[in-house]
Amino acid sequence: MDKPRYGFVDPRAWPIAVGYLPVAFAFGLSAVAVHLPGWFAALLSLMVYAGASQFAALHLLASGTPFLAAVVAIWLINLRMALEGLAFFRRVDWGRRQPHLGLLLTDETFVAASLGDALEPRGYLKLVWLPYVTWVGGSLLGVLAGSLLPTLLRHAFGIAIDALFVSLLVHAVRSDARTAWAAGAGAAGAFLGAPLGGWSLVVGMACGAIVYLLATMRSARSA
Amino acid sequence: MRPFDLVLFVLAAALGTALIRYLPARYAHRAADPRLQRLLQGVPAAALGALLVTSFNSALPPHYLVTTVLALALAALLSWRPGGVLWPVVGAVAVAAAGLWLHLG
Repeated sequence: MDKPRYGFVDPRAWPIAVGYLPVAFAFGLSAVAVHLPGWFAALLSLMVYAGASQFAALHLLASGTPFLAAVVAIWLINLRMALEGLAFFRRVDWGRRQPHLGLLLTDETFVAASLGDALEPRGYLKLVWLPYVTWVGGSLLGVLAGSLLPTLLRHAFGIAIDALFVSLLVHAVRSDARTAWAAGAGAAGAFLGAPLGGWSLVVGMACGAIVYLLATMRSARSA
Repeated sequence: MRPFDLVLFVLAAALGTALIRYLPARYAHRAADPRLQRLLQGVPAAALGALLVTSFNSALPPHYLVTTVLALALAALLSWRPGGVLWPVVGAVAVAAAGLWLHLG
């Protein structure tokens, strides 16, 4: 059977882009709400392109977390992409272009690209470019709108970051109950590590990851 | 933070994230230690739990605990059905705006 041929955009890219736009918009608004410059939000979207860690960056910088602790936290949050990259790129063999194309892989494009037949590099690019452009454009729109919004609404958008974390956590727990243990241990580690200031986040992540590993080993033994 | 520090922050975050994306794509065909993979799998959930604890008090202006709890409870409720993160975020922002408007402390 012939493989489907699309124009410039893989149809699976549209729902991802539509989903990205309001979240990117909220990111731009949140940056303005926590008094970070608009250019910083736009640059972060352009160069990091990883939603949850970008929202976390806003919180970390706005709350005065030490520079190095904030950077390490961003890396740790994005570590999941290493797993996604490993899983996806084991299925394809694109030669020397492969590592560069991996730079545009996100949670959502990973899922879409992993479904169905293995993609060729050109088909992969047709899937990933539109979500990227939408993410950067949505962030810019949010920054521009943020400076025009009334103060009350700007404050209200401060909750968007935590709502995103809650939502991501609920989705994760629904798909894998062990993540509840990891999240609980992460929260406990961050709470107990509060005297360490911004490093409490890193302590929490390490605790949660170890608990997740132990829970996985225990369930493997009992299976 | 000064603008120069913010630029440095973006560069450091972007460089690390680029390596996290680049290296697995480069070496995907080499075997990875399964224990390391399991450890990495737990990091996102652990990060979410830790972030919720560290950011809970800074989400809204101080003294808006009831509004914060109500908004996040609605976000959790709306997240329970399958779907994206849009409606939980929109719902929480709407509750926060209403709470701030009503001075619901």
